[in-house]
Amino acid sequence: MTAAAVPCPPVPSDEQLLARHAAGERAALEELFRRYRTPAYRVAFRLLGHEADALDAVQEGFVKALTHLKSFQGRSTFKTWLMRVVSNAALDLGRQRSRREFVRLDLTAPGKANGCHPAAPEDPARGLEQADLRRLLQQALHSLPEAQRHTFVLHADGDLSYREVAEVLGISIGTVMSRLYYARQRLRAYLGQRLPLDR
Amino acid sequence: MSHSSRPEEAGPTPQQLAAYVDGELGPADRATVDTWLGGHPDARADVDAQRRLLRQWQAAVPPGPDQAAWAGILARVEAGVAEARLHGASSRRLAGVVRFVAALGAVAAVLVLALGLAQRFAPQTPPVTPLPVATAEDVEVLSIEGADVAALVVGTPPVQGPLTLASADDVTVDKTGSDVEVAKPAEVAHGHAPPPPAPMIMFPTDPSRITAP
Repeated sequence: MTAAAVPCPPVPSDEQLLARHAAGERAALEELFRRYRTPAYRVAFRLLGHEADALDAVQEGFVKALTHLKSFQGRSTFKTWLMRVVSNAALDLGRQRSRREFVRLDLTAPGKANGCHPAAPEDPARGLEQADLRRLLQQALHSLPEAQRHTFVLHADGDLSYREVAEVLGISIGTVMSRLYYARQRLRAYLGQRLPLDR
Repeated sequence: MSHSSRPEEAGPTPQQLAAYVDGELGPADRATVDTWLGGHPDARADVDAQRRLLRQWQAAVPPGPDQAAWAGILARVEAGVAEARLHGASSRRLAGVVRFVAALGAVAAVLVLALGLAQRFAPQTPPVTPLPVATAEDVEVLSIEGADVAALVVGTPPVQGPLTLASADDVTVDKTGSDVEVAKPAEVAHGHAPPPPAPMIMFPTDPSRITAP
């Protein structure tokens, strides 16, 4: 006796989920949140370097993106709209925080977990190495001008293509290419002897 | 994605090399860069270094919150969206009331303006010239036809001042007798009313037959 194969239900598009959410279906919002929470969080974390602030930016970004849908519909996708709102919220938070106090990334304290909880590393030593590497990359990232940092993070952590990054930032693809190139040059120059990038 | 390349001798731009590393070049451009890199080991080393940087970057992904933290964020997002919608709805209601009141005010202003203009530019009714009333001292009856004698009423006129003719719209006759022709324009006296009503002299004949003393 063989079990009949049950066809998987088609994955709803973002537009379908948004329509269902507008109709009051709670599960649609959950699905949208689950679909984009990780790239949104990574972008916010890279721009802020702090878990709690990054979560604030994600929360604020989702609320704004969902309550201002008319501002994007027909001109971009929900994904790029959300990334735009989240990353702008993160940059705003970063500016507010830098006014209150200098960014406390604990960048000069290797080995300290910076209030974040690494995702259960199998090897504590490896987790420590990752935390150190992450702090080093954060240092390098914050040495970039804001426009390059924003562009680089959207591409590297937001899983956005060049075209999508251009859409989020309202710039040409050529400008995206240029910013990414110079951002990498600066990162490599900053990391220099600290990481074996050129070997 | 396809980007036009520079002449093969010049090689790809640094930006095109970055796009090559990111897999953003179209098949034709990618093949061109592959071929060019084969003859330029320095550029190849640069491309490899970019790839290592990206690998390091991906290896150091930010730590993610646990499920409980995500559930808390989702709950706050739901609450925030609901609050924003509620606030938006009440704002829209308030805006609706404000718009209604504003529209009402605008209509009232237009009406006042229209009435003012209408009063200003409406055709003015010509002033009514009162009819002079002759008194007993003003006339003397020299002769009268015998058949008209019955119509001659002698007495004190009911008004002392001039008379103004009123149109049918100006008066309302509540009660009429069978001997009254309602269709005739009524004469309404303006002026000093006499103390007791008294008969007045009526001249049903041709005025040319009346001569002043």
